[in-house]
Amino acid sequence: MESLKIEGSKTKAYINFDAESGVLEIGGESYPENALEFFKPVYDWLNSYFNEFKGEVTFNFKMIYFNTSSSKAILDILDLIENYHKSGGKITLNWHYESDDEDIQESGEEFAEGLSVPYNIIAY
Amino acid sequence: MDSRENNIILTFKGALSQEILVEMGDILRTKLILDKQIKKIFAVFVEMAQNIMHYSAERDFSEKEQKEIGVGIVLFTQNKSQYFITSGNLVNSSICERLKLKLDRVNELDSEGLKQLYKEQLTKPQENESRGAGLGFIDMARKSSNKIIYSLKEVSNEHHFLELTITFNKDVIKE
Repeated sequence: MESLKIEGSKTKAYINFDAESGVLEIGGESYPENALEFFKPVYDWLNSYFNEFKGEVTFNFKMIYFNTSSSKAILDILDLIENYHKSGGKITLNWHYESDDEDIQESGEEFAEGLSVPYNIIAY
Repeated sequence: MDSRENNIILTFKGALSQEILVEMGDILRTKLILDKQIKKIFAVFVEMAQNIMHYSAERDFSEKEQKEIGVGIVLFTQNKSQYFITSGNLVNSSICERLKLKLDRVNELDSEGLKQLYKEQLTKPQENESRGAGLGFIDMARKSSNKIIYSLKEVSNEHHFLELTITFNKDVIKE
């Protein structure tokens, strides 16, 4: 499977999914006009990847800011991650936040509630 | 600055495209660069502007973007102790009751209640008419930690004017 790379912009997150190494990263700011449209190909890529890939995955979120419609899309991605974990896939989830950013820290904690996948909340 | 006097930091009236949102956001960030709450204020601004963009009942056709864009007003002001961010736009009178219920519910809740409601809304299947996740008002209230001030005024049989104000208390300034 090919890697997925999308360069970030002011309102769109960067996507760096390395298919071979299993290191998948989303970061930056996300407040596009239509978050569903932006995240659709990202979701679809992950969906097929988790169906095919059998190796160890590290998923990094390095969000700076995201609007409420992006948070819905992030939740959908977390569901895919959780399912991969539940079906026996080896995956670690790292949620990074700037050390003084309580909002991003709190979102990370809230998203973690109810998930069983190994989940680290890391300040930088 | 007189403590009773509000001075305008930024104001916009018209069709609020994503491009205009980005430009206004940049100005806000530049003007508030030293304020610790800048990320929260920015977040509230984005939710308000995108509400207008997607839901305003008054729409303008943009030649450039080849689509209809919501028309509204955004006003960002301050006095000595607070920032005020206000949005205004037309809504269909038929949704007024629903808006009132949503806003009153948000205003009744404390921070723990808002957190729960946010979670509930986030995991709920999308309302079919809604482009966003129905989370905007809750997020605004959580970011500001003050009640949402709102009014709905009838302007015609079909439309009401919705005005929302979110306030931020400024950090205590050491003199």
